[in-house]
Amino acid sequence: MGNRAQILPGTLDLLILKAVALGPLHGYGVLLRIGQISKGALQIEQGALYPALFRLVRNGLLKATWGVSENNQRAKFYELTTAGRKRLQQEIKSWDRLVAAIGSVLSTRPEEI
Amino acid sequence: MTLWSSLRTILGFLFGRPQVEMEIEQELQAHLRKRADDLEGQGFSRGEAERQARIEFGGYQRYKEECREALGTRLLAELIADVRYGLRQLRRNFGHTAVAVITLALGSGATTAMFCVVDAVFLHPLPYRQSGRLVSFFSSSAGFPRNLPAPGSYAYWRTEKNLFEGVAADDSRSYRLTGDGEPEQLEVEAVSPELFPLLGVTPQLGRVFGPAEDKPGTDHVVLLSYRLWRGRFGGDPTLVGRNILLNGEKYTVDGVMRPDFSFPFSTSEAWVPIDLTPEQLRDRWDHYLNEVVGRLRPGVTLQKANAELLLLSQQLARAYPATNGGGMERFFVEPLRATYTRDARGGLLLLMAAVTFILLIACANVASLLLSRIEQREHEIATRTALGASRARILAQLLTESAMLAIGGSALGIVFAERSLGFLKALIPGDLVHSIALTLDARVLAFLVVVLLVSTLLFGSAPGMRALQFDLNEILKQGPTRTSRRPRLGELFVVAEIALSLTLVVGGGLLLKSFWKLRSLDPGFRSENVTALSLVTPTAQRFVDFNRRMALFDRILERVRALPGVKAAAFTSAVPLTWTGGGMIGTLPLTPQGALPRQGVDRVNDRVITPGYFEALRIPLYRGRFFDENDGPNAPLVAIVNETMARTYWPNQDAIGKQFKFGPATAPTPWIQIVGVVGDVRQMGLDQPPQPEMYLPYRQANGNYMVPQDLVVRTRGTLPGLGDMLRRLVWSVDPDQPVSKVMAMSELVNQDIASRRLRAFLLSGLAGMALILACVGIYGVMTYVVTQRTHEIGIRAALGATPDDIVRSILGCGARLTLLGVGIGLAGAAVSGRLIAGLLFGVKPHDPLTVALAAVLLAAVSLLACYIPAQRATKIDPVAALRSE
Repeated sequence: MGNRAQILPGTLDLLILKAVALGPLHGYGVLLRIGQISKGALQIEQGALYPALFRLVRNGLLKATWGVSENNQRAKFYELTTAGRKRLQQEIKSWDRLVAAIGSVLSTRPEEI
Repeated sequence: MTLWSSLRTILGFLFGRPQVEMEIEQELQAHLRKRADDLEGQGFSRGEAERQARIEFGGYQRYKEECREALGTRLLAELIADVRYGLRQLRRNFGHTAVAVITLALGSGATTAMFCVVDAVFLHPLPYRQSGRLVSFFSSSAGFPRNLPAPGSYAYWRTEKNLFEGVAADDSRSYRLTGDGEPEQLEVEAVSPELFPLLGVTPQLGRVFGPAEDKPGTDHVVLLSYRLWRGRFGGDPTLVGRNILLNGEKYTVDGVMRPDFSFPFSTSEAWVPIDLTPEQLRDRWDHYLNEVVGRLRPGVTLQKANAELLLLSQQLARAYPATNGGGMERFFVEPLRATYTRDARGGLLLLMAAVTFILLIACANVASLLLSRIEQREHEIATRTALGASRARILAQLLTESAMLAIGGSALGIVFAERSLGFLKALIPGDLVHSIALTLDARVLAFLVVVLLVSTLLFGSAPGMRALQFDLNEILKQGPTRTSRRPRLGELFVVAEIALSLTLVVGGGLLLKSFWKLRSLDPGFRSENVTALSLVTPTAQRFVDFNRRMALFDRILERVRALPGVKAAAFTSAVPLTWTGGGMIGTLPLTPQGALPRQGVDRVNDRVITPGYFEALRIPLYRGRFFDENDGPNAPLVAIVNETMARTYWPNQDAIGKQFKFGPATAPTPWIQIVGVVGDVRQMGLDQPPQPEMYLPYRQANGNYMVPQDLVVRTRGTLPGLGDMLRRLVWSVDPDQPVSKVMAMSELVNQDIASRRLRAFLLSGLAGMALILACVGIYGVMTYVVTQRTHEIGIRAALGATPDDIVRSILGCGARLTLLGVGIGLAGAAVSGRLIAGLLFGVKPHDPLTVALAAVLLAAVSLLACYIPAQRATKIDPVAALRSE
């Protein structure tokens, strides 16, 4: 477990949006994709995924449709809406700014002050 | 997020809740299944894989709840769950629910229906432009606090341009309508042409009067009421512009008014321009204008207008001391609506108060019902609290149940209210029946919603408060068996119900007794087997000649008296109980001979009659003689007076042979000698004390303003078809003579007290309803008390208490509450009695018999309601009662 990180509060939405941006997914698929692209580094309590998904749908960032999954079971598929796509861009930008800022803070050496 | 999407979610949730719920469940289950599949692929056994999947998922129910919350439907879900749970509870206790719903339906239905009437009569605008600024004028002087206006006063009022935008006068007349069809007597209002723009009304057809149409030469124009137009003229649209014959003269129909227009009376059938001559406009003596209406200028208050009018009347009194009728005359205005609703006001407010009482009793009833239920449910509530339900949750759930009862009750109440509007129509003041309608409109329904909310809070908070007091530990320790606790709140409700009901029963009893007193009162004449009808002839051109008119009366009377079965017939200027609306009819100032000079001039009612009048109405002769055919134009002038007049002017003397004259002592009028004294007749209404009154023989009444026009006929038994017979008989004498208001005298008497009867019966009905509701409520509480005490009673029985002891113990508890309730109720009745004193007749507000009877009745009903549960208590089997512990 040592190489796994709890995700920061508030970043779950960003992760979900990113995961779904790569192609429509059902709930479990979102979990798998996040695990896959983070190479298992990010740990999400699985149940927490669903309230987040429902909230994103309700806020119009995701669209949900019922379809049939790879093993022929009824499943709900999520995809980005236009608003979701825009939101994802914004979130990525502000994340980059945050990371850059935090990174520069953390990489400061004593003689630079 | 868009409003639409959330709306859709909520709608979807409301109507398809199971589906949403199912989808959440499906999605989460699908996740678990896929995870388990994957884990199985990694080498777990199926069981292990499923277990692991659940662990990784986390709190399943918690996330599900969060999903619902994310969908924005949690509160709704709770509400729906409460509603379902409530419905289940209510269905399980069907009897309780039915009683509660019916009780609430009676309460809210009665309240809503009465509010509908009150709203229509007092709050809804009259069908005139800004009807709140319309006022009607009165003059008050000694003995005549609300006299009709005299034309001379109107002439001054209409010059007060600073106070009023306009002032219009109305003089009620009676015109004969002839041509096409049977002759008909119309109630025609002669009005100032500015009346219509003043009221702000427009006609249905044609136009209203132009400003100059009251001038001679152009004033033969007429406006028809919608009802006359439909009834007499078949709604012919081409009538406008054509002529009709009124009193034999051609009048051009200017227009037809709308159905809701009836001014000033509901019986007004047509309007013509008023033709007040300059001479009439100087007349401050004769108060005969039926209505003078004005519109206050914006910014002028009622107080200001009245202050200015008082000033005007003082100026006039100083300027014309001689003609200022009967001492100081004072002008005043009041809102037009107040004039219309004056007589109805007290009764309507009384009934409104009564239905509010009913509603309160209903709420107390349901509250005590719910209270007894809540005690039985304490274990359930304690369990739910123990499982983590918050107090707010429990309160919300109990209030939901209460609200459901209230909604059910109100829905049924609307049906009741709707049904009752038909007969409540009779409560609308007579002259507004065409102008206002009773409908359950938005305002009334809004009122119902308020009633619903208030009553829910009233009866819903009681069990809620009780539930919050439950001691969790105690209850759960004891298990589902009963604790013995005195239901203090329930007892309080019983006391309140008894007190409220007693107040109502006393009020109803007082009104009933007033009605009964009035009913059994001697009106001064015998109404049975007397038929009255009206032949208005006086102003007709062809009967201006006095001798021709006398000849007509003589011919008609001769033929009527010849009809088989007719015992007596006579003409009079007005049969008793008519002309009660506007005030006095034919009041003449007079000076009795030899009387001390008095302040002002005395006024006495006068009636002009033919011989046979007293016989026809069986008015008793006390002294002297009746009129006969010898009292002709050339004989000495004579009069018959009533007892009150004799006593007023010649106290302790014989009035026979005494003389009086019209006008002041100096007037050049002849002296009239009194030849008879007859019994008092309640001319102005059964509830009005008799006034001084005189009768004059019609052959000597040439020039008197009062002209005989009403025919009274006494028959042997009732003669079927008499009305038609009389009509045909009159037409055989004069084919152009209209005959109107054919009516049995007894019917007139009934009409006179109709509003009192309605009021008395409605209030007694409500009191009866209160009694039944209270009875049910007391029964409910006492039954509950017995259930609570089952264990105790069992022990008592086991220790040797006889059934009588047990009944006495339960009844004793009931009697205590009853006594307390009756005591408070008596205090309430004393207060309410004073408030309704104005509606009583011949009964004191604290009439001991009525109050005592009501108290006994209530106590009896209450003890009866206690007796049944008490009887049941004796049936308790001590062994079973003790074993249940």
